[in-house]
Amino acid sequence: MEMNEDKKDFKTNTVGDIFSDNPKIVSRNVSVYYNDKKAISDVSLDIGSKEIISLIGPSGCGKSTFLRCFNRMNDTIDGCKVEGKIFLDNENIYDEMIDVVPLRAKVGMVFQKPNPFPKSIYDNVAYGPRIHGLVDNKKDMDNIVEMSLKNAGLWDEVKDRLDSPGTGLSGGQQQRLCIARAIAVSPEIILMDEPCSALDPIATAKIEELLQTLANDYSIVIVTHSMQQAARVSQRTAYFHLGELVEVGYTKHIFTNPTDIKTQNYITGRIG
Amino acid sequence: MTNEHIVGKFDDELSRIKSEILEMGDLVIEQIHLSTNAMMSLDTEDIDNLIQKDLKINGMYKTINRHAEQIIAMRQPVAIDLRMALLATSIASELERLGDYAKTTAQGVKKLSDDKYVKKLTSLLGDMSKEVQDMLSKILKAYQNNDIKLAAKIRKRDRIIDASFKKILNTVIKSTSKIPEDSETLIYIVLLARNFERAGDRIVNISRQVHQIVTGIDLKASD
Ligand SMILES: Nc1ncnc2c1ncn2[C@@H]1O[C@H](COP(=O)(O)OP(=O)(O)O)[C@@H](O)[C@H]1O
Ligand SMILES: [Mg+2]
Repeated sequence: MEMNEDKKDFKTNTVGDIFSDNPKIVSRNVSVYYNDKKAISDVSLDIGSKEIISLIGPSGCGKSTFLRCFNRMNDTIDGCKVEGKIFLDNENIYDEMIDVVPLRAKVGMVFQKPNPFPKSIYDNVAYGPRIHGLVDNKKDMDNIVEMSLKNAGLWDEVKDRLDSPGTGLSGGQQQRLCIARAIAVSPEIILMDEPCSALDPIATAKIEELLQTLANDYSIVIVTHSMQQAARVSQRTAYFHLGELVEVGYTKHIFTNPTDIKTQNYITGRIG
Repeated sequence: MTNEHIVGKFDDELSRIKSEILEMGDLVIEQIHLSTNAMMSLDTEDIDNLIQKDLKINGMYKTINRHAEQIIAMRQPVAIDLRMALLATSIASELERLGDYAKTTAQGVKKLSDDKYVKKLTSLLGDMSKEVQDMLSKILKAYQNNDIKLAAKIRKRDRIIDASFKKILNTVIKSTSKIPEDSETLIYIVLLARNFERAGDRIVNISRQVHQIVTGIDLKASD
């Protein structure tokens, strides 16, 4: 299997170390097209087990496109074609044999705008376990809902009103509800696409604090527009520019002394 | 070396702090120059003025610190920008101490005499001072232009200062037996020589700080 490739032999234009010692996801030479337009080009990157990695870069550089490759969400977009290889625990997720339904349970996603279903708080969390057939009795479901809401840091705020609509919560609470919904199906990876861009600073801080706890159990890939947020929450940071992965490295390196001038211009807010 | 910021005011703030350092540095050079002149000519007329001016240097140090603090708090600079703000305070701190040496030199003039022997020693101190002034003016140039090659050259010149210090020290050790009644003057001369020697070290520190701003690399004591 290609995951056992020799790192020294792998060529990439990306500056920094694309490899992880303990990879959960391995992506190699990933290019994505929307019809004839190439959105990302030849991206190779490991996502480490239980690490938080942030993807940064200007709008339209391909962060969301790359993120959507990991749970094959791009399959749902007409005219979208993915090239290259992506392995999750040594398994090629673009293999014909792969069923995307369990894949998407394994690789959960949280979006920019909190999008709870127009259902009760309880049913929002119970939805996934129900459709994936994870439980067959009320007691187990109650447990999953409680654990998920606790792990999402929301339990204390909603435990007395599980029957009220999820859409009635504040923005930050809704986003934590969406996180609870994602973790209810026991994923291994959580993808987050600008999860705080619709939230105020306090709600953002709560999510960031939650991310640190979640990283004990999951690998987290977070796309963020806020460089300060990338600096605060992630161990590694990957900088994208015009569809290419320019540089990746430890967050403390990227934000103190990046190697590539394009990275420096971006993180310091300079005209590139 | 670097492109402009999208937010132009950020560039203005960083260049302001740079001009403030350069202005402070020029004032320190002037102070060293004038206090050395006073020492060589035994002219005490200017001394109060020199001591007064040191307060201005201290004030500039505080201003630079305040402006750096504001940049860090309000712009959240990273990478080279952060180093520019952070290390400006280090450089200003070295300059402030260099200003103190000039003040000590000025205060010492009253303790000197026009004895032939003392004259010979103060003229050696004058040479040290000239070297320090030239190194300082060049290191400010290196800081202004992010010139790490020039900064490296200045670090090498610290040896000259160290050698001059040893020479003065040896001369004084020999002369204490000859003119024991003037030991207070001799002790003062050693103190001033020691100050110039320390001044060389502080300029070396600034040189390392310039290197760190530009490259992000904190040099080892041996480089
Ligand atoms: N559904 C889509 N259909 C066509 N083009 C798209 C679609 N989604 C993204 N793109 C294009 O792909 C490029 C990368 O977009 P995206 O991944 O959304 O970037 P980012 O998340 O970094 O802002 C952009 O040029 C964008 O216009
Ligand atoms: Mg996006």
